[in-house]
Amino acid sequence: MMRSPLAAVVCLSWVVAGCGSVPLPQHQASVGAIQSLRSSDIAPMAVGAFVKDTKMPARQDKSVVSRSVTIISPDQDSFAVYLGNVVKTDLEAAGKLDANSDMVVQGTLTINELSTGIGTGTGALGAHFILTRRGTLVFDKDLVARQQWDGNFVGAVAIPDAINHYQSLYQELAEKLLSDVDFRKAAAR
Amino acid sequence: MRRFKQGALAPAIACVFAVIMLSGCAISPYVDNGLGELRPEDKVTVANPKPVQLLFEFQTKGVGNGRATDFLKTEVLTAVQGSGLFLEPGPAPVSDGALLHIVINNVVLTDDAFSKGFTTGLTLGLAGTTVADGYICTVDYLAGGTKKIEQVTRDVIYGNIGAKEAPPHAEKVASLEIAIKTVTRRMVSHALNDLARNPEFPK
Repeated sequence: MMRSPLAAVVCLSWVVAGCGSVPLPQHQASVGAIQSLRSSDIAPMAVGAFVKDTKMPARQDKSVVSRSVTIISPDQDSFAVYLGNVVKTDLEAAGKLDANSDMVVQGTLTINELSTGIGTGTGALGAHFILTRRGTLVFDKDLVARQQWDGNFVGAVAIPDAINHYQSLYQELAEKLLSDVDFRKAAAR
Repeated sequence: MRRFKQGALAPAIACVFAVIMLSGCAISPYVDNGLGELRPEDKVTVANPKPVQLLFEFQTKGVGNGRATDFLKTEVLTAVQGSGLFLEPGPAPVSDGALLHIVINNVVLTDDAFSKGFTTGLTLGLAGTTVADGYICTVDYLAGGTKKIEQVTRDVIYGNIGAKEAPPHAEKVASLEIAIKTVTRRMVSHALNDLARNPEFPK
């Protein structure tokens, strides 16, 4: 790993000091969501706007902090947009995405929290989802995903752990939406 | 190519690395030679490879690790293509719903990696340390989107720090990047080959 003393210094600063900003990796389609969608009668749908709640401070949509590392969204500097892309990726991988559908799912990011304590790490992600069909509201619900995990004194372990758990909140929230009984009823063919 | 960051995976190695870095000790990665490369003469061939949707996820202690997934997905795709068992594997769904789901889970095999690294750091490497990270590769194949065949393979990466002899039954590699790519290629190739031996695998 250490190709030169300079690389060692750079790596040391990232691992030990843990400074700087890190974009969240792009979401990979979840097999759980795909199987869940395939086993349902959900019709293909379009993904509309995903925005932050007006009550949420703008910085909360742009970044979360794990110790001294700032985690940012790779999608238009917005975690709300990132959440929309997670839903889109899962729908597409299951063959349930149709940009021309008259059924549109949209979301408003309401909770975006991450805490990387020495003893315990916690994260929460919440959104208000709506589904419209030919412009008529057919589904309207708040959903939240929460996680708690063992913390670690060593930043080189704690920070990647926090990033992994934080990213998995998006998958968990998307799966909650796509497997929600009311959502499935509303989105049925 | 995206540079692989120490700590993005290999938690035991990262833990030791973090607490001894200031001592200037070097880390030497080794790959367990129990699994080894899949030999060409052992490869299973299929007459009519079928299209498949490929999903890959790297996990650290059971939790998705997006950075490592990004880092290794080309390696996994290359191994799947190289197996010759599937036609045009890719992320898009295929007409008959066939799905190949590959998960590599990185688990810590060495207890108390922190104190080991601390001791090595304090003695400027004289008290050497060897830590081990385990990797469990699970390959699920859903033929026609429903019938599931599963195959599991395992491998180990060792991190040797300070004045410590090489771990037995392991080969030294030049970097941690090469180590993780090596175990990924080996685990996926062997798992797919074993999968193809299953009588239920479509040939």
